Amino acid sequence: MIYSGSIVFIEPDCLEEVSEMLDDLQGVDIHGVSKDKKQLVVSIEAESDELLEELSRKIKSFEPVLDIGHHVMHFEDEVDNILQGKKIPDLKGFQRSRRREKNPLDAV
Amino acid sequence: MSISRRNFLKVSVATAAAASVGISLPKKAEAAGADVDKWVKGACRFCGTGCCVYIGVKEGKVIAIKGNPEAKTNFGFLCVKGFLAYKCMYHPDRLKDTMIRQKDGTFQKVSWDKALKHVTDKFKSLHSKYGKDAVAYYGSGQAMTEESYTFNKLFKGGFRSNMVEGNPRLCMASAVGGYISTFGSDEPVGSYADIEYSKCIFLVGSNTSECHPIIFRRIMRHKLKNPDVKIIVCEPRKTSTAKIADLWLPVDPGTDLAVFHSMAKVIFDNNWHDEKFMNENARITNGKETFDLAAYKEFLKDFTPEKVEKLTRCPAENIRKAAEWFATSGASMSLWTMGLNQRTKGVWANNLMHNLHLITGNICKPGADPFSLTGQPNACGGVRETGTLCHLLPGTKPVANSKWRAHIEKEWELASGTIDPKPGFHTMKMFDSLGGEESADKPIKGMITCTTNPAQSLPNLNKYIKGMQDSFLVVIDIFPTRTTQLADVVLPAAFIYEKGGVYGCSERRSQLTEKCVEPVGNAKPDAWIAAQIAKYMGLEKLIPWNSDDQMKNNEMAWAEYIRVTKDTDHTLEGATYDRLKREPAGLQWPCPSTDHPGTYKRYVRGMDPMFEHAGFKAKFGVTMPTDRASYFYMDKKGEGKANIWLRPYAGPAEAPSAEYPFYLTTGRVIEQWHTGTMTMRIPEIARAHPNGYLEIHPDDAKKYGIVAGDMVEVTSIRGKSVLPAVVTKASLPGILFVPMHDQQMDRMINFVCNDAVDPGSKEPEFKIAAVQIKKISGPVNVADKYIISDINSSF
Ligand code: SF4
Repeated sequence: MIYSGSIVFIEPDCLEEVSEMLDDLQGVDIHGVSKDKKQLVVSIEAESDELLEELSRKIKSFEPVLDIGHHVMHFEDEVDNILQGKKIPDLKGFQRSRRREKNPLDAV
Repeated sequence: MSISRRNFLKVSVATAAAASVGISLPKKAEAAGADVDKWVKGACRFCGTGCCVYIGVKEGKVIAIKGNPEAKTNFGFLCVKGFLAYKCMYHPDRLKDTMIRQKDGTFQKVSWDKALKHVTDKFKSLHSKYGKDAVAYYGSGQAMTEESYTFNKLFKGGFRSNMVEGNPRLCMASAVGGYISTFGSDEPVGSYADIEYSKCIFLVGSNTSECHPIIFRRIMRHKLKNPDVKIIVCEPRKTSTAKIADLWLPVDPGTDLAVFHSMAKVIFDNNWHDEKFMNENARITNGKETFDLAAYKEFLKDFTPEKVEKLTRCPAENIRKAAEWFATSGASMSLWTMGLNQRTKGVWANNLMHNLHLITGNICKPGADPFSLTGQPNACGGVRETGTLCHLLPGTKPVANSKWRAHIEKEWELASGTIDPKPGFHTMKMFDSLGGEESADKPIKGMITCTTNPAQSLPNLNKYIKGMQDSFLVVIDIFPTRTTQLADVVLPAAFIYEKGGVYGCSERRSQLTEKCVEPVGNAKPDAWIAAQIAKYMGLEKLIPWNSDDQMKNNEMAWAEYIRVTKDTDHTLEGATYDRLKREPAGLQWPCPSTDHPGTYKRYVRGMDPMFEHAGFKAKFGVTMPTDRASYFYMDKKGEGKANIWLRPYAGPAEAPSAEYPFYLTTGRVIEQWHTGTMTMRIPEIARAHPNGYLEIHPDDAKKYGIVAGDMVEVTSIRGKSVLPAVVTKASLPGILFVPMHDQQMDRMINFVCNDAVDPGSKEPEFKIAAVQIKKISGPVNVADKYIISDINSSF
């Protein structure tokens, strides 16, 4: 398991909307909100850092989300798995390559 | 895992994140410690931004990383690369043993003693048979400062050889040449902090969003907070950086010199220049003579936006708008990287960027600065500042300068005349001169490389492989690479968090990483390896930091380095190890004393301590008039002025022709880092951009009957590469793009790239080659995320 402590930066007046969207994401917990209601403190729990990255991308793709910044990552289980030979960094997953996604600039 | 531990970790990481932005949480974890034994301060290993991190260590293992909220570079946030360093550290492919190649071509594990004896016996033999320059050093902007300093001292002071180079020659040398020829001294005037003061940001030849994500984030946030801030992007490709741009200046590769001159012309035509600043602080010159403003205007007369549009494909209207925003914003900052440097006219391109700042007075004030970003984490601190290049000595002063040579000899306790006054060979010449003992035309017979992968990263690779293969090649690295495949001896290196040391990032900031954990297997710190080579060659007096306590070794090397350079304009005398351990955000030079806070902006009275530095003034014969608010004190003419250069227009070394009708340009993509030696081993990084690929515009693809995924052969006069096509409007028609990280032989684009060098900086023109293309087949299941895992695999 990987845990990240992250800040989600959002548009003004969108706290409720974003909170609902984040609540729907498994592994994402909201822990606090800044006074100006433009920053949410979240933890993300994911099986691996590839999934954590995917969750981050998903969060960033929400319309009122301006950005997500990761501050801390805890990966003890991952390190143990690698050191015990239980997990060799895999070479699968190419199909999700970002370069095969539509380039947003193509529309420009 | 128990629920309570899961909850504890969640609350713990959230508490730390909240604290980093000053939010207090209702429910706090007992400690925002994320279940670690200790947090150790350090720097990120993966780019020149210099993000400051804390490494979480538990039971001798790195198990967490967090951004340092007090850091002036990243304010507590990291990009994905920074977090995933542990995957490099604990990857099963890590080199863990010293190895010597046997007659049958395979490697045999040996002890450190045997390996060091083998290496040094061979070096001694080569020195005695072929002379002091028969063995060369090729280092890296990823090595720690102490490591580069140690190897530099060993070679220049111990072997008396200036055959010392490093891979920053391939990426930053033109920026160095630009700073030195314009201001008399290397490295930026300002700092990242200028980003938040700027009103207009000009991004040139830099895909900041991909290559420097945390810098991009700062720019993006500045723009979001201040929508009036103008962002101009000048790039052949419409990269993801263009997302936040107000204006894109598309240019054919290598033609942007004309755009910069045209912007200057528009500025003068509209009287947007700052004549007072120019008169006081700059001279107009072609290197031989100085000129008045009228002559400069005359020089620019042919660079009308309309004419330049024809030459560069950059719309005239965009040039006009860019000139207006740049000159009239009140505070303009330019940022650039390799797109401006990796060219046969790289120094000139850098000069012309500085020109725009000097003619508009956009320098020496908050938010206004010409800023070259470095790609590697320690190209500035490690290689440029320690002078670990063939023509330099510590303090970035030329080896040919007799006074500075005498100073270094005295500091290193060497007999006068020990250091060779003649510069060694620059990188491309060095590799061209490398060969076996039977090759009479190859004077360099042996080489030691440190943390770099030239067998993949040099341009026009076909020309240089044989030399590496035939010579006696010793490779220090953490993974098997294309270069270990050609090596005679492989020495396993420790990762940054296993050894500690100082990194100096793009903004003149030095940050200390403390050793966090023990190296894996038998890996050793590179500085320890250098010191042992010295010891085995009878030079332990020269390099006495050879104990098994690496932090002590580092500290000794650093203390000597800052003493030797204490009276230079780069002084770090106040940045002692003790202090660097305490300072949460490192220190920016000049930092002349332990009570000095470091320097945000150079050449400005009241900000730059060199105005008051008696030792510096005496050593370099500088006098500064009291009535000048800014003064470029390294000006060779002693007038405190910067040079506005009249550089004639010159295009790239290779332009498209009937036979080779396309421009090829190369670069990095966000998750990958340089030749992918480390980043390709991190699965999620590898997955994002797993293979090399060829970006082609839809119009060109249609003409050649190419659809996405088709295999396309790209050929220049030097070599070829076969890559899957990505059809995208990101590039202009006629321009192809290939990233440079793929280690698979067919997709290694450097066989195609040009090795013609800039005559001033000797940096090769990686970025521009003329090529032809041919569709080879439909989509093929290419070997995804290819990496070299087997040390005995062949090239
Ligand atoms: S921006 Fe560069 S220095 Fe900062 S975390 Fe990312 S890779 Fe590391």
